Amino acid sequence: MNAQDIVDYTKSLDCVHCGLCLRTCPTYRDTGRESASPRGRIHMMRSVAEGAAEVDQHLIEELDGCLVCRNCESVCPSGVEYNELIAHTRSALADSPHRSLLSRESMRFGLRSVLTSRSMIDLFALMLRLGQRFGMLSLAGTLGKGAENLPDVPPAAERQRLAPVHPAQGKLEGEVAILEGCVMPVFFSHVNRATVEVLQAAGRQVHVPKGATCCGALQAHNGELETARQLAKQMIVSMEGPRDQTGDLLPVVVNSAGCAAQMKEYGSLLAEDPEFAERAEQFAARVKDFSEYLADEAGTRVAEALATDPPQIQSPLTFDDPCHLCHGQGVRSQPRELLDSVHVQRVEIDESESCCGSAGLFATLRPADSQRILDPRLGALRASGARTLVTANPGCQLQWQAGVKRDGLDVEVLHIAEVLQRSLKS
Amino acid sequence: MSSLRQVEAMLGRESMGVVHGLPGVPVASPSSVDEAREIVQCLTKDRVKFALLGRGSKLGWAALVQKPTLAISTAKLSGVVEFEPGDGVMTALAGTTLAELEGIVRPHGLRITPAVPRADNATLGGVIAAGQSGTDRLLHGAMRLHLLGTRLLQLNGQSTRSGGQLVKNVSGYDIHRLLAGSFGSLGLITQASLRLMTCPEDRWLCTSQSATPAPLVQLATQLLESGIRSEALIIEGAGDAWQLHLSLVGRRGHVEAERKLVAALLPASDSLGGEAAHTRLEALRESEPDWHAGDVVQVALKRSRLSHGLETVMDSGFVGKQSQYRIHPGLATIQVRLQSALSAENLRQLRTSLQALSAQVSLKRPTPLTEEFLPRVVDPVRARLVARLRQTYDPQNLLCTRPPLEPIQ
Amino acid sequence: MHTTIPRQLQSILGDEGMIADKNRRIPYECDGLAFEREIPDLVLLPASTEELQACLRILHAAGIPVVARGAGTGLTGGATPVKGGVVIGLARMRKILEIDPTNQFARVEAGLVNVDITHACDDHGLFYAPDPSSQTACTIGGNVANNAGGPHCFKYGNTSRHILGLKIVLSDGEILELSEPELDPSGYDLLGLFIGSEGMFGIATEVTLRLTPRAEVTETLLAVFPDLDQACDTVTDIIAEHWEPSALEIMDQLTIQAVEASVFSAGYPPDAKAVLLIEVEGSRPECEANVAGIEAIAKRHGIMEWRRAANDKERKKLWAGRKGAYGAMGRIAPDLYVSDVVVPRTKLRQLVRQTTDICERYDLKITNVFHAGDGNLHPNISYDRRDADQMRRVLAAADEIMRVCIDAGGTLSGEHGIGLEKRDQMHMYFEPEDMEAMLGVRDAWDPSGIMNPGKMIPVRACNEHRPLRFKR
Repeated sequence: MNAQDIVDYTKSLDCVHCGLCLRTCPTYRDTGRESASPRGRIHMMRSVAEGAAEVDQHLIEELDGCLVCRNCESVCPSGVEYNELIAHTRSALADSPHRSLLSRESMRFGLRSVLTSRSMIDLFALMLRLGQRFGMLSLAGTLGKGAENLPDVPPAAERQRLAPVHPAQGKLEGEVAILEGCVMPVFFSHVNRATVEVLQAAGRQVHVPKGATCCGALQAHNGELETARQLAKQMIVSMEGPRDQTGDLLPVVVNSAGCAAQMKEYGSLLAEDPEFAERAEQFAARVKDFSEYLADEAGTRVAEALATDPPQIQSPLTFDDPCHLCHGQGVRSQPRELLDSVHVQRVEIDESESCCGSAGLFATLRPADSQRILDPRLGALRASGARTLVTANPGCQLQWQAGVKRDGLDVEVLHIAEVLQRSLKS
Repeated sequence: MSSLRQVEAMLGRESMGVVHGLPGVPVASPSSVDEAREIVQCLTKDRVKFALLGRGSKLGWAALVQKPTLAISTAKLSGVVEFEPGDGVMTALAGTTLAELEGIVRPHGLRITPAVPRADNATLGGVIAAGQSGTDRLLHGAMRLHLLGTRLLQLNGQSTRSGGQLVKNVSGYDIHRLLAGSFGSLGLITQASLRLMTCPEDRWLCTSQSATPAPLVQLATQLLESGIRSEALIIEGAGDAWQLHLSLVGRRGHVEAERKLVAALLPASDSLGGEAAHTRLEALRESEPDWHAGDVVQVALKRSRLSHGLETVMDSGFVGKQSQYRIHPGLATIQVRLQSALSAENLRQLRTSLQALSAQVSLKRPTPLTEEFLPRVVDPVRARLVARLRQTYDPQNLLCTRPPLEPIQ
Repeated sequence: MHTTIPRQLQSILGDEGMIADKNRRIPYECDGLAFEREIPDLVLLPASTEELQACLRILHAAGIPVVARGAGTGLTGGATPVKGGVVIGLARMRKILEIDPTNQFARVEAGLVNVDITHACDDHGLFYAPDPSSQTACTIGGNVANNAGGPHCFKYGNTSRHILGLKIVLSDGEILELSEPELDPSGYDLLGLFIGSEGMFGIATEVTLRLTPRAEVTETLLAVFPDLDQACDTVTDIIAEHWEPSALEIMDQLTIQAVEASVFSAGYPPDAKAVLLIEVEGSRPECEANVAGIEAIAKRHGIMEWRRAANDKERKKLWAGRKGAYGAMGRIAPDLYVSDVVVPRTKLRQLVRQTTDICERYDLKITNVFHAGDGNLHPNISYDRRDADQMRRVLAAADEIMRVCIDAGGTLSGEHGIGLEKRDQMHMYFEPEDMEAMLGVRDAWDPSGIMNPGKMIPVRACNEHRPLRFKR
């Protein structure tokens, strides 16, 4: 492959090598290696493009080690589009002979075949649940080893899908479409239900388009850009289904920060696609994070819908910013505004914008690294005194739940939709 | 003694003299850097041992490790080289006294730090070489922090510059920092640049009395912890008469407000404002224990260990409770003017008894300290580095004075 | 390098502590000065003073050059590797060892990031004063090596005023302890000499630093000018009339426009020719007196507008513009040459004009954003490194700027250091014998000459020496 094709060279030139990103990078903090920092990774990529370096397993290892938490983008004074740089290069190197065949094939199978299909996800969830219940994962070889790091799959009764339409409560103020998601219905169907209930209470009629499964974020971050583009197109088509009474397209409300961040970038993902470029731009503008939508569009109505008594939530609570919410979407104040309308004391947790180590597939593929990144965050959680940790992304929720359980902390980990749901007037 | 005669011939008899601290040693006072260079070259050629000094007022702080044949004084290298009132900086020749400098800058609302006693006999170069502090140390910090640059006449005859006359400058190594406190052991400082301080708009001074120092130390600790920013905080006394002096400076409204805070902590005290406060502070500055008249011991420790250190010093038989004490609680130093000369053995004992507090113990006396008064604990790594630095500046080992706390190997 | 050496080093450092493969060494080929490059033969990342000591013993015996590196944010190539040498990174040594609020000091490992110190002592009402613009990334060890500054150094002084002790590993692996939190150094002030020595004397691994109590009141003000000269003269008068702000920062019109067009928008009026950002700290009466005094001077110089931040949020916003200024300008042109010179504060107007004239003559785009209170100018020249002719003009203009500043009584660097970038300009400021004296001192610290060789002081026999600044 041509070196220029491996790297988005023009974008890499935006980096002026100032180093201000270093401290925010969880993998640099963990290892102290500049090759495991944003500046270092860009430097290596640029060297490849300039012919000063050749791809080898060390380079791939450092690029794969990136959490794509995008914290570096928030502090970059030069506005480097790191996310796009790394997605481009990871995609170009997905088939590199410097990776083992097994890892290439199992990754590809997972990203291309399982996550893209509802029936395959359900089948996989069933197998995983059986494996977890009967302790058979260790018998399944390498694949099983990876699966051992996955969280427990709830019983089938918990894995309920959402109905296609949910009416507003009280006066109708608007209509929205929501993303049901790929793994959300498996691990977090209760969060999806909470999301719907809160939107209903805020006077929104909620549509759940069923035409697309996955937003493509995991694929885009893990070297499957082509698959990600296919998924994006399916998503756009699916979300162009429901319209409001005047015939306008609906806002797309997403309760998973990682998905919303990806969907907001469909414009650049499909910029080269003649059929979809413009539709993608328009679609991206309609995507809103759950808290962003509620606070900006329905703040008063939400406040009215909340009970005046303290809800069943341990006090104090804290909000831990999902990376793809604060760094990916620049959404910071809205979840806090919503939480402050709930009658529970709120404290700040140290470095709330720093990654918890979940990072898409990272926690599953690299459990030890992920744990080391979570450890200082757990320390900050303890120091904050919070007894409820609120997040807005399923991956983060799983990661925190696992950490809290392992450390034996008396902290409940909730999605912001669950907090609001519990605070609604009965 | 041909080199001595050569020097005398060079300068003329009127430029040769003696100083109190070095009896029997002729002192040459060149009136230009070129003259000084000629003398130095003449002495190094003949490998003559010599000492470098200003007016010799702090010779008794230095360690004298070998007997000098001659001393070179900067007393006649005097005058301001450059003074920029608008930039708050000045450069002067090393033999200029602090009193002269103060007289020049004062009309511009500026002042020199450190505020030292007997400033009419303290040269700029001498104050730098001795690393001297004054009554304003608490407010401004050490003088070395405001030393912006120096010119050094090296023993190889070269005149080298470090730093400059700018308040911010990181060009080159800060060799001027090495010279501050070097006691003439590396070369002759001929010129220095200083950052100047601003004269305060208002001043207020109050004094509190006690029969023992302990309650005053405690009060001082409270004052320090209250965040009150004092120019000077001094406890002095002997026997059963002790005073605490606190001086506040700054903008009028600020001094006013801080006075109220102080009043709440120091109910029974005399206070002075404006000019009277200034005069009292000057008197305090001048009454610093005089090392010309007898031995002065100084103990420096961490602030949290001050009370403990004071007890240890007062309990030691050869220092005692009747000696004259001066304590700077904010700096955590204790100075004691002893009633009789301290023996080297007693100094060692004092150092041992204060070792547990990691205190620094130094001695100032009328004549230079000889080797037995120097600390013994030698860090071999430091000693080797210091030896190499000395070798760089004084390869023939001709200079006779050393910093008193730098152990001799 | 002899083949046994990497193996010996690896046995000390383990897999986590050494980088041998080329690709992962590439990010270490330069620091913030990206046009000087050299890939190091090895990168060592010791986790303790003892590991570093053991490594240095081996390297010293083999005569291998060593370049110490903190976060590599320096702007003068101080951490650029040396051919055939190794880089020792301190990034894994970032523990806070001790915080003593009573005696107001902290002891930390040298790889700790500057801002983490303040973060750790915030609860005690204390902070670490030096605040270089890169403080969210740069390490305290790097600050010590460069005697780093920052906006608030106008009041509090550069790094050297805040360091109380150091643990240094010398070139031969010996450990020098200069940790004496008492009043004055015992003997020679080796500490004061070491600070700012740009990695040529040894590697500091532990730093004891002074913590400063937070001021009771902080006021942030903005004076808006129709003219850059008037902004400069305002600062000159503030200094001459002995007012005591804690920071005085000037930004010119191009900077203001760049900032306002960026995500750092601070609400500076885009039609202003200059703004002066002022911070005043102290007690309430002190602040009021200073604010009134400074406002009177500013008004005398015909300001368009005078703003006073009403709360923390507004204060942060005013500062965000200043702190994001470099980045904002980075978006105008691909590259930014950040110059760092100091001039007497009585001559600000004249020299800011002269630097602008020089850049115009070279057809270069210049922006000014600088620590006016210290006379520390940062003429920033925007350029594109891929344009060789422009690159040449940038360096020529930078040289001329240094020349006029030095002629006016200024100096080469106020806070970034000399490194490689200004090494060959040292002769503008120092005589050969001054630099010879410096080399003598360097030789005393490191007789082997393996520590960061070739930096700061021009190599003797200058005529044989290749002009480094024009490489690439």
